[in-house]
Amino acid sequence: MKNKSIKMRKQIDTSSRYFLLLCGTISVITVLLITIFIVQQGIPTFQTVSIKEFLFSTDWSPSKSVPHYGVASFVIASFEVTLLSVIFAIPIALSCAIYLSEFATGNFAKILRSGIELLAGIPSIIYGLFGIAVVVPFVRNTFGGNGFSLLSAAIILAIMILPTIINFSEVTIRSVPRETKNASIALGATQWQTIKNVIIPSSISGIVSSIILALGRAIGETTAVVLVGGNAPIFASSPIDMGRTLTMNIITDMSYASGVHMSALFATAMLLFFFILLLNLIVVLVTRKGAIHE
Amino acid sequence: MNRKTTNTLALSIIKILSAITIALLVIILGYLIYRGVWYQNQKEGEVLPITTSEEDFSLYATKDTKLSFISWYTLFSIAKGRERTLRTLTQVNEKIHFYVDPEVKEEAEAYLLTPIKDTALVNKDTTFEPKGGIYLLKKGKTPPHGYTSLPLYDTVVAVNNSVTTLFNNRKIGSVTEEQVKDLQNGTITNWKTLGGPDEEVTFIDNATNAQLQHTKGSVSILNANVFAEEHGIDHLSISRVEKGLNITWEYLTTNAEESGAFGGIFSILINTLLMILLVLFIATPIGVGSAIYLSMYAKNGPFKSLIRSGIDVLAGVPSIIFGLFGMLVFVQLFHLSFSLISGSLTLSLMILPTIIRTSEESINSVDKNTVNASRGLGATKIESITSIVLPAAKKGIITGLILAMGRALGETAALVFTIGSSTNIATGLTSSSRVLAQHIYLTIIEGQSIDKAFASALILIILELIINSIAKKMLRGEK
Repeated sequence: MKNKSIKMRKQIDTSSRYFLLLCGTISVITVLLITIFIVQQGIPTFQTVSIKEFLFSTDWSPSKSVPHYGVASFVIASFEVTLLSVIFAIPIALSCAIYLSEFATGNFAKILRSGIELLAGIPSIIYGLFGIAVVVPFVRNTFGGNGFSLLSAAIILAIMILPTIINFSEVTIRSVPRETKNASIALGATQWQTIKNVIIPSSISGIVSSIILALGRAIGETTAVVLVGGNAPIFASSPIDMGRTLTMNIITDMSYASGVHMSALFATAMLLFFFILLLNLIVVLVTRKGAIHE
Repeated sequence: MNRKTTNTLALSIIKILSAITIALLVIILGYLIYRGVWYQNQKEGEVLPITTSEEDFSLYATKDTKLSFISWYTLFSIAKGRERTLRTLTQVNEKIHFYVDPEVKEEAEAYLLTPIKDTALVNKDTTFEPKGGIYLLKKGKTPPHGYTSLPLYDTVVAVNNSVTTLFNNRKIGSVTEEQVKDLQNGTITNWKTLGGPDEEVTFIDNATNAQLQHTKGSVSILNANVFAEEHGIDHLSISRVEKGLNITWEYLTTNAEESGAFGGIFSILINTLLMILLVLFIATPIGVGSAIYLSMYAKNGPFKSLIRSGIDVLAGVPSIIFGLFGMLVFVQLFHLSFSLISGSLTLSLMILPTIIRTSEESINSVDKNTVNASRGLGATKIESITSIVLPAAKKGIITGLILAMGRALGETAALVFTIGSSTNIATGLTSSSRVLAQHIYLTIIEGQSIDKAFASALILIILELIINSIAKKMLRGEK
């Protein structure tokens, strides 16, 4: 450093400033580029397929002589799987979050905490493999059908999103002031009454955003669901039927698609991206509303 | 119900539901270890594991063949020259060398119903191929060096055609050894018991053709070479359970072959390592740079919140969309083809938010007064950052990198359309390659081998656990 002239040091300082600015903006640039590229590839679909048919038809038959590109059944399957998984996950996840933030003492809490960390660290492909070997036979034997079903996918997703809901809910539950809880106890409320009437209502916005974040993760998950969901491009009339979600449609058909079929897949991705952005927006709104309330 | 009972009940439910999380983890990991380490497959064969013929020869084979037994049918096809390698038998990539002792040539020809080629006739004292050897030697002679005894199973369960016909869209499946014994000693009296047609079982000792052909529901235990000549009679396949080790040293040190159906995962582990190094090499400067910008340069305002929401959105983008983006930009636009570099670039973008968030947090925790002191002593801003801030925030930044590494290691969907699928070790940045997580996906999707998928999955989960525990240790050390 001593050998460098002051002018040179200044120059390094300025150029590094620009480099860091570039690094700083790269996330925004990537998001913009992703949007542009996906939309640019997806839009040509609507020259041959009407938006109405694409969104509301359940007929996806790209290989027929008169091909049809309707993704309604995939949208419904995506929602079905995502909602089911959240419904399965909420009781367990909230219990864990309440337990960790309110009673977290002793070995069990320690084990629970590292257990949740481990669950979060398991790659989705392994959840998928576990799903094929354990959840699919379980669903087959308990509910009938061939086991590869939207229900199996929802069960796997429920396990996968547990850490997301637990971690975010725990933080908000923890942030409820100790004084508020003590006041409730002092007024003669039991622990459960305090949880039910004080803790949950005052951290509800955080809990809701954690659930919405989990919805986002669930709707975008691909590898785990494609292995257990059956992947049949038809409308699944019940959760134990084989079905196909938006992500499954993209990963399955992309390997051989071309032309309109290809851009219809990008349009599917557009739709998925739209849902994700919508969920992000809701999280922002919910957190802001929660902040105002406080 | 009074308040106290409700309270106890509710708290117990909370505790039980929390325990379910642990139970789920234990089940997942336990099952994965179980299936990853051992395999237990139901295999179907044509013969019972016994030898019923009394011949004047015995069979020997070299150790490297890995054969634990051989069925008459396999030996028959080897003698005929149809089976030339060990691949379909024991997955060993080796040619079969079949030898017959000239002294038992006639017996062997009669037994195998095949003329033995002169080239196969070899005296015990001549030199042998050290690998892939199977030797049919006169009984009582000592086998050549390196050859050990190989059981030869040649017993078939022959049945009348009526047993194996299709009825109500169903057909009798394979039977186990125990079930054959039950057929023999009369415990099973109707084929219905085994999922066959409603037909009475008639067991005939050493039945002749005519007996089997004309008695409905008849069954006999026959020699394969006697049975092979018959027509109009069927045989039942025998199921047996094969157990063994799934993960072996060999699995870790040999390359994958034929899309992972054979061989190990050495090449895939190397590719995975290369990809992780590349991803860290690309993403570290950008991610840490971004964090430095956010915490040291950017002023609070709309621009900073724009960047922040950019990071939030990027963190929520599903990996399949990253995969599509990588395919459009790196594979197609930049002509990098489905390659190591396309995959690594895609993953680098994907793990940026993880690196940025953890790095920023740990840079923010550095005492800003030390920076001011450094500036006051005449250092430029970037000099203060590289010599004061980064060393102080090193631990947090490395923890973030390790966490990001864990995420990259487990990623599949973003790589399916970017990195290619070759099982060879990558020779350059633009060579197609496959990595561990994606290998598991492809092995399952292509239906290669669920056992191998579990073995790879166990390796993957062990690597993830190691990475997680290192990150955890570092976090604890920081506090």
